[in-house]
Amino acid sequence: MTEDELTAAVLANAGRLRRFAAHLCGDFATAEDLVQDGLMRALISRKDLRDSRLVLPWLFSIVRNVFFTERRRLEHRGNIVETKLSLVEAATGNLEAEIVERGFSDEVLRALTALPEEQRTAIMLCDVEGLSYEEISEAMACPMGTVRSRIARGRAQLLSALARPTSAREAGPGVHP
Amino acid sequence: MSCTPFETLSAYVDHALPDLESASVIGHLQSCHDCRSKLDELRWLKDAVRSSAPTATASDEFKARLATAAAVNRRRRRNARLGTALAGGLAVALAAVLVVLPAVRERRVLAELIGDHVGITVTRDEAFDVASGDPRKLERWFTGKINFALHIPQVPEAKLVGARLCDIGGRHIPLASYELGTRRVSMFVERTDRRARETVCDEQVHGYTVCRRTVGGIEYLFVSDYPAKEAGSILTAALEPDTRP
Repeated sequence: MTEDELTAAVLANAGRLRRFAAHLCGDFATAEDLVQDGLMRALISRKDLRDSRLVLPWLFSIVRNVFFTERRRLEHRGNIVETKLSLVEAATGNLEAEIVERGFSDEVLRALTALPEEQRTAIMLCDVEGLSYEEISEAMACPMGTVRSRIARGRAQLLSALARPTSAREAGPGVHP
Repeated sequence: MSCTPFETLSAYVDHALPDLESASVIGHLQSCHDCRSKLDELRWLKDAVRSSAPTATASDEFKARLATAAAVNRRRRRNARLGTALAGGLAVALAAVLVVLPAVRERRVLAELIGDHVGITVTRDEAFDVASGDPRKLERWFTGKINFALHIPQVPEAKLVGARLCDIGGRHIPLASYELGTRRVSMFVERTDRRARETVCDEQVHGYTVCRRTVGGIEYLFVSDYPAKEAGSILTAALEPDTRP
């Protein structure tokens, strides 16, 4: 993949990368910085991308790695809370403002933030970004079996945390996925 | 017949089961009310998570920022590559011309220097030999590896993160990496026969600013993407008398 193609892929998916980064860090301003840093890293290491069909998962993985690197750096400085680089910790400050800013619904956000990051990210990539298990395994650098179990464990915890509305029960059972 | 495991039902909702396993789940669901209820819950949850997320939007301003960053990055790396190639090519072609050799060597050294700054400090594709924020610990690591007593300067308001012994033009030159605000900057330190000289900066070194200052037979080269005036002030301040406790 050439630099132009890679840049075009990032621009075409800028909204999804920004949303994914915001899910990791907790605010869209920081998310944009993460995506920009991710683009720089992607351009430098683009030869690591073996299969251009997996460019989006690969970009997700880079943004996630940038986030972890940045978080470690800030943790060392001891100011992670001030800069809102943790979804869970940031949400404990001004939850209402955070929810409005992120656009996540209150109840689901609370339940999602209670999950371990690996489970939350796997579920977000699956349900929000619509990635297949193979693509998620690329994005999270783990086997597909691990993706499957992380999603299932996260969902089990979410179901126990969320009160399911009656209307959903009344929708009736069905065997199609 | 035993019920379908939750993990299998979860993967079924995601269309992630092999055909045979999927057919088996469908068969079981026909006769198991409990599993149908679980499936129903999983479908509801998947939809709830999907609909709870914000829409994926990116402003034109943000896209323009990304495009600009990509273009600047490319220009810098191309300049660095061209610089390396040019300096290398010239070094071969003019090897016998002793008069120009120092200048050629200097250009090649600068190209390598910028390459190490990018690879070690900026992108961190190359690891530090020693990662620490303690200058004394870094200095101890270099003991016996270089032929002078290393003093790693304290760059004001910067966080020291690590160091590496670089091989530049056949010379072993310590590099110290710092984080200064949102930027990453490098300090190369080398023994020299030159007399002391004040800070001198050049902004156009493969896209980066290189500032030099010689103090007590040691040359300090500060590499950053700050404008020359600002970079020069930082280097000068960093080489003020040591105030370490």
